[in-house]
This record gives sequence, C-alpha cells and structure tokens, in this order.
Amino acid sequence: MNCFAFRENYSDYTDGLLDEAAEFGARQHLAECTACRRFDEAFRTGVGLLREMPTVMPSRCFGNTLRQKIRHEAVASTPALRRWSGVAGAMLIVTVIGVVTWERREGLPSGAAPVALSKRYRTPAHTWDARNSMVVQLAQDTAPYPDDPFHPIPSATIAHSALYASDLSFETPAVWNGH
Amino acid sequence: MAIVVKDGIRSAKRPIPAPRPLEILEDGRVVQTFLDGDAAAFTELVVRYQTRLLNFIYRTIGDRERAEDLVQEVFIRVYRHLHRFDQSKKFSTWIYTIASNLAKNELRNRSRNPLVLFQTIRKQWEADHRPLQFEDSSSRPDDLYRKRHLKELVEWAVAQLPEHHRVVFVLRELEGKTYEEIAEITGCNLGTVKSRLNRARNNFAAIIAPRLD
Repeated sequence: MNCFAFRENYSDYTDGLLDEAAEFGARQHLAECTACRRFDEAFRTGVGLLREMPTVMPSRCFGNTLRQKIRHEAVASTPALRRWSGVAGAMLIVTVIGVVTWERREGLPSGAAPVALSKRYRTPAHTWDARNSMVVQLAQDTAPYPDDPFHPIPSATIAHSALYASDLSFETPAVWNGH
Repeated sequence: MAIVVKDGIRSAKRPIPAPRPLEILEDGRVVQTFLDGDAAAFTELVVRYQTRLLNFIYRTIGDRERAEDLVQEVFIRVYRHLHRFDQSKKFSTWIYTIASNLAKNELRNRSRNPLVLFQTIRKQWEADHRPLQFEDSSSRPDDLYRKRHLKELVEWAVAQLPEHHRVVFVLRELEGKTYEEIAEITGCNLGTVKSRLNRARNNFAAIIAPRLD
C-alpha cells in the first residue's frame, strides 16, 4: 500500500472496516512510512483532545427561557385554534374565489362600485309574486346599460301597500349593484 | 384481580398499574406519553437531550451562546411537530436531524454576514487572552499552557473544516453516531457520508500535524 491508498482508506482503517488483507497492508505501510505514521498520530491525538474537552452545560436560565418559549408556543398553537384558523382560511379562499367568479360571469369589473339608479321609470313591465307584491322590470331600452348584454335589466320588488294605483311608475332603489 | 361491584353488577376489573417513572422509559415511550397528554414527558426529553445537543451544536458552530439559542429552537420545533414524528424511527436521529439543519443554516448565515463573523473572531480573541486557570494544581504551568494551546488548536482545526465535512466529523468523532445514523441525520447516502468523513479526517490530521511538534 502506498501513501495515497493509505489515506484514501484511512477512515475505514480507523473504524476497523478494512478486510484482513487491506488491514495488513495498512499496518505494514504505517510501519514503513514516517509521514503517514505522523499523520495517524496527529489524528489520534487531536481526536483524543477533542473528546477530553469539558462538556458544555446549559446555562442556569436555559430551562426557564425554554419554558417561557414553549408556553408561548402552546398558546399560539392551541389545537382548536389551529383547526378553526384552517377552516376560516379555507372559507375565506372559497368566498374570494366565488366573488371573483361571479363578477366575471356577471361582467362587472372587479370591485365595481354600486351604480346609482335613483331615477323614476315609467310603465315598467310587471308581474305579481306569491306575496302579492309587484315585481317590476325596466324595458330593455330604459335600462342603465342598454348596449351591454351582460348587464341584467334591473328589477325591483315593491310591496303592494307601497304602490300608488294611479301611477304605474316606480323608483328603483337608490343604489343598485347588480343583484 | 379486583372484583368491583358497580350498580349492582359484579365485574372483574384489572387494578390500574402504577405509572412507570419517565426516566426508565425509552425515548419512543416518552414521546408517546407526551402525545397522550403528559406534559412532564416533554421535560424528560429536554433533560435527556439538552446537554448532548448543546455540545453537538457548539462543536459545530463554535459559539456557545448561539448554540444555546439554537438548542432552544430545536426543542420548540420538537414541541411543535412531535405529533408528526414517525414513531417507527429513532427519536434521537430525528432530534439530531433538526439540530444539524439549524447548525448548518447558522453556518451559512455566518458566512454571508460579516458582522457575525467579526463577533466570532472577537470572542475567540477574548478567549485567547483570558488568564490561565490552574484547575489542576498538580500540573506545571507550562504543561497547562501547552494543554490549553493544544485544545484550542484542535477546536480551531475543527472550525477550519468545510461545513458539510464538519457536521459529519462531529457526529462521528464526538457524538459516536454510526454511518447509517449520520446518513439519516444529514440526508445523504452512505457513500457520501463515508467519503465526507474520510476527507474530514484527512483534513483534520493535515491541519494539526505540523502544529503538534
């Protein structure tokens, strides 16, 4: 065995993992080579000194500091709190996705401001619903967005008691946001 | 076996065994005890590992105060994720993996942050210039000086090793871990561990050999 091979196999030699023949070759090389013997002695002395180093002990406040941190951690990560925060997060995500999808389908620009419709319209089409209230709908040409097919024609439900029999006009809610 | 009469019904009931002291349980049982709701079991894990981890991290990063902070971080992570620990594995390997990752991150941060590097150098300078402590009255002062010099030399030699060699070296030489455990802790395969350990041992010997004479 030469110096290069000895050092290539040095770890296995140190841990006794070489086979019998290689082990014999390494020992023979050590007996003959001063440089590798010095190298081996330096390694064993160094590791011996490292193992002799006094054990470093945790400081006195280690336990208390850790206890405080763990207590803080325990409060922050209460299982129930963690579980509900997950549910709340999931609901929030679903809500946001729902709103964005709905806005896209309705053709509203994202975050569109409510449209002011405080305007008196005449002769709307109307039907009666189950509660005997009048459901009125504007004619297409009088809708606020006559050229926009994606905007539904506004409609409103007016209680029967609020209607004036002589006047078939109605006033849309002051603010209509597309619902 | 005790016979218990409850609501007029005779039933055989085993007497409740006295709880085993945590100190004699193996790590896996202590972990299970903690997961079953016994907070004292976590304290037992801290008692078992605080000194070992402190020495491992200290020998890896060379800064005692920071090592203590990192050991605390290890225990916080253990507390946070213990329910996810695969109990078919060894707890000691798992906790050493966390410690090893934190130590490696610390070394990386240091190499990028000149201020931390300066503080480390200053601490080492202060240690070099502290007066000799004659803890062993039977030794001569020049022997004590030589021994202290040699210990500083080997500590310095460890610090000269590249980060990934150093972790493997400390785990093998100071913590006495097997190759398989080191492979699991460092997330490397066995061949890589062997190769890194051989290079670390060669480097370590090459650094101190000229200075030992």
